[in-house]
Amino acid sequence: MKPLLEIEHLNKSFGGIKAVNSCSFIVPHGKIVGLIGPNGAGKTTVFNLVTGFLSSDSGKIKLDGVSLVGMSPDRIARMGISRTFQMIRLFPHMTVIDNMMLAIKNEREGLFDAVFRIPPLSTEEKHNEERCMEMLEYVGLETKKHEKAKNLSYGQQKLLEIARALIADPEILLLDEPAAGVNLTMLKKIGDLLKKLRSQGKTILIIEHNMEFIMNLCDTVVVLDYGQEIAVGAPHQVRKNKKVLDAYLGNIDVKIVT
Amino acid sequence: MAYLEHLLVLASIYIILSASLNIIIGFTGMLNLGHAAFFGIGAYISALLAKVIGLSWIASVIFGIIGAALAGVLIGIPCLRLRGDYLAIATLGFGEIIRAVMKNWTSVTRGPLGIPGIPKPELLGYRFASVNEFLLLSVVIMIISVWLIHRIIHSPFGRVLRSIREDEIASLSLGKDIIKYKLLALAIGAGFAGLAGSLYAHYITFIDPTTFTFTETVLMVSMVVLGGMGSLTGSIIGAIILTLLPEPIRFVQLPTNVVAASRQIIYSVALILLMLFRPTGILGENPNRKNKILYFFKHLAWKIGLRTNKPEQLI
Repeated sequence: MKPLLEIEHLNKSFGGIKAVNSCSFIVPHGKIVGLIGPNGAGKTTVFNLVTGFLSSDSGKIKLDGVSLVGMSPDRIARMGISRTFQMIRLFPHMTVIDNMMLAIKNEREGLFDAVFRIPPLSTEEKHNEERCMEMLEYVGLETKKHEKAKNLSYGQQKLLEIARALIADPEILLLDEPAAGVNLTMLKKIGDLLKKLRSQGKTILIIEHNMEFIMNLCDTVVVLDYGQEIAVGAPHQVRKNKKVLDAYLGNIDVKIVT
Repeated sequence: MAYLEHLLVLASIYIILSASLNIIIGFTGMLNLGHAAFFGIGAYISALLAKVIGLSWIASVIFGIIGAALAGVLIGIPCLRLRGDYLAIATLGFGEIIRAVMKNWTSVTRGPLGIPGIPKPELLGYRFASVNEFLLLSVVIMIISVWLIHRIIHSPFGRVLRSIREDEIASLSLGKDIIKYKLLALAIGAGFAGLAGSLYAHYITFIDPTTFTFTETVLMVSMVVLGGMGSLTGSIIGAIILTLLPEPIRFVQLPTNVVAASRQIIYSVALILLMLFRPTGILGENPNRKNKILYFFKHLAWKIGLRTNKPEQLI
């Protein structure tokens, strides 16, 4: 079976800095793949290239065999890639339910439907709202339905952003540091959620610095350094790889003196 | 009485203007400082078609709306990459260009001389000549416009517009074609401004470039800000207040040059007070206002015994 997401010899430079340097890896169907590496290794740049927010200098990006190179971000999103951002990007002054309703696939967001409403919008809106509520219950935000997104706590905002990415029913979900700044209870909740999604056959690509989280969750880990993949493999293999230890995980034996 | 009716006609025209500007500024988040240009384009197209070509009133108005909406798209295409202050400057420049065209394209617009003798509206053989007849017409058109704008704003389409105001990048990441939505928002806002322009032209029966200056845009923006960005009811209230507010000083025995200046002072003081005491405007956008009002009445009904079960508070 073909991999869902294929990245081949991807390049992106900012001035003289090669942020992504001939990077290649694949994300198979139904797996959770972790993308790790030191700060500035090009992880978020890879995300921005895949989702079309940046255009690559050269290389291939394919979703289910279809090239995404040169497509606009909105078109890529409609092809089935949902993402979250390292810095949370919600619609702060809109309610939680409106944030969700914007993500759900909706054929009736045109001007014609707004004015003429034939057939009436209410049935569909109600149906969509019910689906959004199910998702909000799933992440435990159902009581915040009418709250403005900016009034949620940080962890709740993270959950809402993930829920919003999920309600779009994507082929693949790209999560940029979902565990950063989140407390342990919330972290476990996010981890359980992602495992549950995988058991439902969803594909996830995840950037994260929390090694325990990544190692327990992922099927495959891709380690980036200077924009290039230096190791790809199962978590237990990658964590013993010498290059990875040198570049990222560290290999100094720490002895605690008591 | 005719004076009050005249003010109400002007108020309905300004309600259409501020509500349409609110679509662009308050709902889509594009700081448009060229709204008077769309107002002027609608007025000129409609006036010229009715007077020179002799088209019927309704046809002239429709062309006025279409012309203004097209101008909205036209200014939108090069400005779409701009945001915030930059967009404001670009639209301001556009407004000045349109005014310069009105002033200098003398073979068509007669330049500073303006266009006199624009025919009064005529619909199915009925002529809206007097002020109270025109008041009826303008109020009906204003209500239809506000109803349409309300319908557009409170729909999935309007929700996408608000998402663009909140965060363009997030909106893109959810698959919204924001270029299309921004152009549509500009076209709708400009189209309604064009409608207001043609109403104005056929009401006053005389237009010249001095009516469509930057000061006029500032007045419209003030109405939107006063009422509250992103609140349609707010725009209506803002337009009514700023149309009527400076009028009482007409009755004070003051020299005309003082009266004109004090109008400006009244606007400025009103805005300064607003920014100090209520920066969100009289009715800032509140997605839960309807629920809160409903809850208030349900609670009241429960208190006085019209309702047996205690209502549930949503927030």
